[in-house]
This record gives sequence, structure tokens and C-alpha cells, in this order.
Amino acid sequence: MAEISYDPIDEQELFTAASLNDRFSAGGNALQTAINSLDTDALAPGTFSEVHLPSLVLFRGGLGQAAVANAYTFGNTPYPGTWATIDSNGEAGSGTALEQSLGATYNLASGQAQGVFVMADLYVGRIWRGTGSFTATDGVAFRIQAYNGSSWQNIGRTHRFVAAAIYSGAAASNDREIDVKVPIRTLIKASDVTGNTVSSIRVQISVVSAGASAATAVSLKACYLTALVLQSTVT
Amino acid sequence: MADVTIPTIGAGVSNGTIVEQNLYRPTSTGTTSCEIINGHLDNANRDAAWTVDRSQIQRGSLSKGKTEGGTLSLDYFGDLFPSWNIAEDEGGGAAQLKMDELYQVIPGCSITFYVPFPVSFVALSWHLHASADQKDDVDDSGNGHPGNYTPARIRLFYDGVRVDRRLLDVPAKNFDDDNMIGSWDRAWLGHYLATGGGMVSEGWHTASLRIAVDPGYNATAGGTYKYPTISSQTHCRVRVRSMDYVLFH
Repeated sequence: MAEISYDPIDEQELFTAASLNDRFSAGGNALQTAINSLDTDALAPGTFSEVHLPSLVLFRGGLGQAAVANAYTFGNTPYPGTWATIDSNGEAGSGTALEQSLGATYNLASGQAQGVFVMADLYVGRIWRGTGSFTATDGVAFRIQAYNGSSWQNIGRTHRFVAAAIYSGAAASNDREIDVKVPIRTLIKASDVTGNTVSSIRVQISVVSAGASAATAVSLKACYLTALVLQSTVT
Repeated sequence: MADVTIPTIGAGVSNGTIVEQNLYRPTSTGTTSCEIINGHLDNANRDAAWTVDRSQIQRGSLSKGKTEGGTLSLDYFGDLFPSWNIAEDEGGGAAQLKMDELYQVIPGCSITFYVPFPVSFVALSWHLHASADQKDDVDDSGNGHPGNYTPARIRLFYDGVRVDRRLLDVPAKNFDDDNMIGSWDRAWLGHYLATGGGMVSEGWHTASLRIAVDPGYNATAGGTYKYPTISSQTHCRVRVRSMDYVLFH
């Protein structure tokens, strides 16, 4: 039912409660019925604007960290076996984790949101060895994880690696900052997480050492993480 | 709000007032008369058989965006930044403001955009490729530059104001065989969400990456600098770059 088809009151037709109700609220062509089931043709093109419609972004959140206080070492977070969530207090922990709650649990298969867009900007300061000469392939790895309500899920395609790639062994090099930005952009979808649900995002780090030296260390500068939950379906 | 419910007229009580009120009886929600069509219609009045189509939404009312970019290499020399230095750049307060004025907007990595109504946020994203170089001996002492010397720094500015900690330090390239760190260029793909207050208010806004190049090593031990006695030894080349914004209602 869409348009209003008002039934004219005929000549000499009685002006009664029944005849009025038929036109106002009771009849098949009543005003009430038409107003409560507006058809798509009742809308002119471009009818809706920002004052009528909700945002396409169901949730947005982000956080940043200043230069991370303590370096990460191969001794505590050796790649590939051990990863740590980036913490504002570095390897010592107990600071602010680079982890963003989405404020709710979203089912990416059946809910309004079918994707979480994640942007992480990581900034590597130095890669060095506390003792001895390091090699050019000493480095650092990053990855993004999503929490599905019961466990953290790796997002494999978000793995990033940075190698020191420094002329080996020179003392001067050992003290140099390499100042490399590591960006990660990804859209997390239902197929990325067991159970299709997601409620938090975080960034993890692991230290790579070519010779498995526990003294291999990595320092981070300012790092940022942003998550946008995008409306993808109409309900 | 909800569907309109026009009161049923009882037998024997129809009169001008009741009929009139069925047609027009203003309330806060408008749900008791045909007056609901005066701006009170909402999703509840939509027939469930259809959903809102793109053609029914005004362009730019949900999101809006644009990208700027450039590929021509841009060379910046320290001479263009005669009093810029790292110490004051990180000094805060008046010193920082003084340094901010010395940064130069990088064409192709800056954007001006109009926000048509207060929005939830503006998402900025950019990428930039840059390299820096310098002579090894950059001060009058004859010494090489110190460890972690930063010949060039690139920062994000929003509405002309520095955004803290959104920066890229561009190391020097190939200045020492034993110190080949930085023998490659630097790429920066970054993002920033402007939220709240004047940053997302209606009107024109700007976002830009700006660069400063150290004119010479500002020796902490004192002494005169090579610059301005002779030309600056530092140089930064900005290569391909772009910046885009997307705003969301």
C-alpha cells in the first residue's frame, strides 16, 4: 500500500462515524494505512540527508603511544615463537597496550557490520644488539590480532617484517636509528575469525635475530592503532 | 517515533472538532493525526517491502572524500630553513611555535576540504617517499655529525596546527661506508583521525605534511656553524606523495 486514494463522499452520502473512519483510520485506503506503509515511490530522489540517516560507521576508536619506553629483545620475544602486545612501557609491560576494544561484539557474518577496517602505524627506531655485533638480518616482526570473544586470532596477511639491513658490525651503525615506518591496513572479515565475531583488535611484536642472540633488541617510537566498524547491511 | 494512529470516531460523536483533529492535531511526535506528515515521518512509516536506495540519499550526506597527489620530485635544502633546529622543534611552547612557522607545506601532500556539516570524524591518510643527504662534515669542528642526526623532519599539520608525534625523521644516506644505515629512502604511509570540536566543524579545513631541513649541525658544544658562512650541507628530496581525506557523518 502506498499512495493515498481518497474515496470521495458521494452526493447525499451520510456524514457518519463509519464513513469518516473508513477514510481516516479503518478502510483499506485510509490515510492512516497509507501513511504507515509509505512506498518507495513516495520519496523523491535525494530525499534523505545526514539529518535523516545514521552514520555508516558503527564504531570508531583508536589510540596512540609516545615512544615506547623499553626495547623488546629476542631474549623475551623471540621470533617466531613468542609475540607480545605492544605496550607503552615496552618489554617491561604494565603500561597501555596497543589494543582497541570495539565496544561490543560484532558478528561479521550476520550483523550490521561485516567488516572492521584496521589501520596501524608503527615506527621502528633502532635495531641493535646489546652485546656483540649484529647482522643485517636482525629485525622485527609485527602482526594484528582480533579477539573473537574467547581467543585471539592471528590475521596472517598483516605480518610485517623489517630488517636492520645495516653494514654489519660497525659500532657506529649499532647506535643508529633506522627510523622506518611500518604501516598495516586490513579489513577484517568473518572468514578471518573463528565464530565470525570480533570485539577487540591489537598489535603484536616479535624480535628477529639471525643468530638467535638474546641481546638483539628493537626500540619503537610513536605507534598508533585505529579501528572502524563499518555498516555493511541494511536492516 | 512510531506509526500514526488516528483515533477512531465513535458512533454519534462525529463533529467538526473531532474531524478537524484527525486531520491536524499537532503533538511532539505527530502520531495522532495526519499532521505526522509535517516532518514527523520516519523509518516506522516505511513499508517493510523496500529499503532505502542510494538514489534516495543526497550525495555527500554520508561520506565525502578527495585525494591530492604529486610525482614531481621536490628538493628542499637547509638554506631554506635558516634557523630551524631539532632542539627547539622538540622544545615545546614558544620555541616549538617558532619552529612550526618554518615548516613548508609539501605540494601534493596537502589538502583543503570543505566540511558541509559537523561530522563524526575526518580520516586522513597519506603516503610519501623521501630521501635525505648531507656531507659528513657538517660543522666547523671537523667532526662528523652525531649519531641519530636528523637532516630532515616531516610533520603533519591540521588546520595549520602541528599534530603531536605524527612525524617522520628522514635519516641521511650513504655518508659513511661503515655506517650505511639509511642507504635506502624512507616511505611513510600514515593516518590520522580528526575528531571533535573545531576539527570537524562546518567549514573549510586543511591538512598538510610539512617539511623542515636542518641547515647545519647545531653543535651542542658551541662554536660557529658552517651555515650560514657557507651553503647548507643538507638536502631532502620528496618524491611521489599523496594525501586524502574521508569524512563520515
